[in-house]
Amino acid sequence: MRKLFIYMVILALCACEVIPENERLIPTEADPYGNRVHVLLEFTGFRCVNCPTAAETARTLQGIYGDKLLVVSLHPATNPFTQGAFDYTCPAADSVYLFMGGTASTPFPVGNIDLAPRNKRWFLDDDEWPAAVDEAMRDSVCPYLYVQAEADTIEHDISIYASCDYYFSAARDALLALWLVEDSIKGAQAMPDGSANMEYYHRHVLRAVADDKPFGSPTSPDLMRFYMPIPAACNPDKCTVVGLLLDKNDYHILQAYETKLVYPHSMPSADE
Amino acid sequence: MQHDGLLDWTPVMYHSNSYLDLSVHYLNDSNKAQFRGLRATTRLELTQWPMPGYEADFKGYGMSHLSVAAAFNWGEITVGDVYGQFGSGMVLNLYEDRALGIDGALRGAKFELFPVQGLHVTLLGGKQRRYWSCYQDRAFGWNYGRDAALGADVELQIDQWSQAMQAHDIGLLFGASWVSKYEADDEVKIAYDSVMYRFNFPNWVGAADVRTELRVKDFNLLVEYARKANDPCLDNSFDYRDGDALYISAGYARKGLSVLAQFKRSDNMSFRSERLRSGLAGRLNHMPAFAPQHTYALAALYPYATQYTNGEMAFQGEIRYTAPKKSKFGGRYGTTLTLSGAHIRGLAEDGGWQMQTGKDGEFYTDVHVELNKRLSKNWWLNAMLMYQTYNRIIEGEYGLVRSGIAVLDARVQINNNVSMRGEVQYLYTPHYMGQWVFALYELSLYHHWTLSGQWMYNIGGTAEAKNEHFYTAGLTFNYNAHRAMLGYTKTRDGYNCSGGVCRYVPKMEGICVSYSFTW
Repeated sequence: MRKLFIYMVILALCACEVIPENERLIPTEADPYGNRVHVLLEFTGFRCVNCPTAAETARTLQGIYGDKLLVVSLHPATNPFTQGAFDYTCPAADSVYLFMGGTASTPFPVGNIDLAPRNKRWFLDDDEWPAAVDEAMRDSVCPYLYVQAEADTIEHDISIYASCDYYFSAARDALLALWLVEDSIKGAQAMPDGSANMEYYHRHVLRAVADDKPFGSPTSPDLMRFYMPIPAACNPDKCTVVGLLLDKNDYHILQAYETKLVYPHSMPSADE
Repeated sequence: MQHDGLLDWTPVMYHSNSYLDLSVHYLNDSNKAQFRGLRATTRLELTQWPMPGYEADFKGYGMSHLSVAAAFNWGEITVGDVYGQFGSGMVLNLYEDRALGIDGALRGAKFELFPVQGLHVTLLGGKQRRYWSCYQDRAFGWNYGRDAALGADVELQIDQWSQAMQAHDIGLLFGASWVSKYEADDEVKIAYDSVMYRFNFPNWVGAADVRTELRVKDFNLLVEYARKANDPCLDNSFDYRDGDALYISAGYARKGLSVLAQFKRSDNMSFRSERLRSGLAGRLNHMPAFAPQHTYALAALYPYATQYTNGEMAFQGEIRYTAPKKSKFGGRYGTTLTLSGAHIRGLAEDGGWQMQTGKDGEFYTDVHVELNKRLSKNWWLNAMLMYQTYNRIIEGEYGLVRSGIAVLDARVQINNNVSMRGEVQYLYTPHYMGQWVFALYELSLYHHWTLSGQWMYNIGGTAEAKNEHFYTAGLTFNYNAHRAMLGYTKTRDGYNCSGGVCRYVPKMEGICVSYSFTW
């Protein structure tokens, strides 16, 4: 019995499992997020009285299409509807807005589906969104994209690792962009009746992008790793990271994946 | 008060890290008995409102440490929360550092055995503390099904068996260690060629270390090699390669002169009890830092962090000479001159033995000369000149900061009851935040009171510079085992490092109060 105990201790102390090279990756079931996800870019501002109505349209569309539609609100500083005492702008939102030809006089609310023009128009009025989303949903191109984001409370940043279908990406010269989006920001908003709602919830607002590149960086066959600081004004508990696979030639969004921030320190164990 | 910059004022935040260590000892005075004594130790922590910059899980309160140790004339058995270090700590170093918020204790047991003279065997095992969360996931923290670590270390002191070696003042030690960690599976996915995969993680990961230390009179040489089996984790971006490290240290010391030369190469040696953890907690090992630990504020402004690099090649050397009293160089009271240097570079390729060249490959360089001299009966002087290169890649940023630093530190004993100390420091660099100046003044009165003030100012001159003032003023009272401090401080954000392990501390301003009592 004593010898058996000693052998058991020695065995446990020397335990080591070596994973052969061909067994390091286990094929798994297709992720439900592997389906094509489209992105509705909602350009909005707190001084725009019709924007709450457009936000409701976006919310309704999300209810219809569920996980297949992501909505991201952009508050571009160039547009006067975003300017004033309350600041929900970020430089990346302005870069996207200017790329699409937005100016100081572009009327809000407007939107865009998958960063692609429709009938040669970049900006669509909110009553055009349902038809545009319905049309986009017919696009069958469906590359894999997977993103995981770990919040680092020491560095106050996010460690993001992402992988995508590299063969597809290489063929399309794809770029990978990572956007930090914050939901339910309680703040001011001009309402359709002309009143000011100081307890309005701004949803899915673009706050920052990885590497200051709103249109992303070239993809790689390996696991890609990025760091993104969490802006001081952001509440990490309400943030998600949206991964976007874009066509390098025209920046059209080919795939999207949204993931919540994970706190590895409090991550539930696998057996729970 | 803090202003959130958008709408409202947020309330004042109070921060406090409080610890109460209690220990009870029983000694058996009988010389014949095998049982030598008993020691029970516990620690209560209150970190519910922690000081800024600690990790989220650090917050909490309760009995973090409880252990009972029984000592015999053949060894010692400890049950409860145990610490330990094998060799230089490259495969196992479980320690506590409250300034950083690190507590790597294993909740389990530890056996230290001395079966024969010159042989030291250590066996330990348990579940590692990772702040409070891992202790709370099951009652009493005994959830070993999720993760556990086991270790064994053997040290043979050969010279203990040879009278000839002892007679010639030769010491020879061989050591070997093994550490295994067990961890349940995690689901992490990756897509390749339109197929989704998940990583096949090893449940058991082993790490081994062998070392030998030779001492011949005033010379000593340590050679240590550690290797770790496949351990894909967040730190190494799920790399399955084995990790390894070589550590060589040679030294010579005689009265008035010491020389130290060290070399280290490490690759993929991050070893944690939890593979998906980042930050400071859950580390089973600690790679020795090859950068000097400076106490002067500007010399420590850009400290080196070993935990942020996956592979590095490091060199360090130091010559310290103390000129004897009443010699030409030593003067009436003697003079100590220290020349020290450290150079750390990245590896050219994973697992390789070539250093990375170019600017990006240089992680850290430190060359400094320090003069320590007693000028007269009442005056002491310490002066330092330093050149430093710091790569901000350690912070996840880009760019080298090359700086020159000068320090002058003087102390005067006016009479038996009054002494004063002052420091002036200057850091010159055209990079990053530019130049800094620092001054400190301390007045000690009647052996119990110390009044101190320090000021740090960024001269700036670069895009990142803010020309900001930082200052601390305080009054400290010491009496026997009591130490109390009251002060007002405004500190910059930066890294607080110890032994190459760093914690980011945000900018803060406020009143600080501390009290400690040891009995």
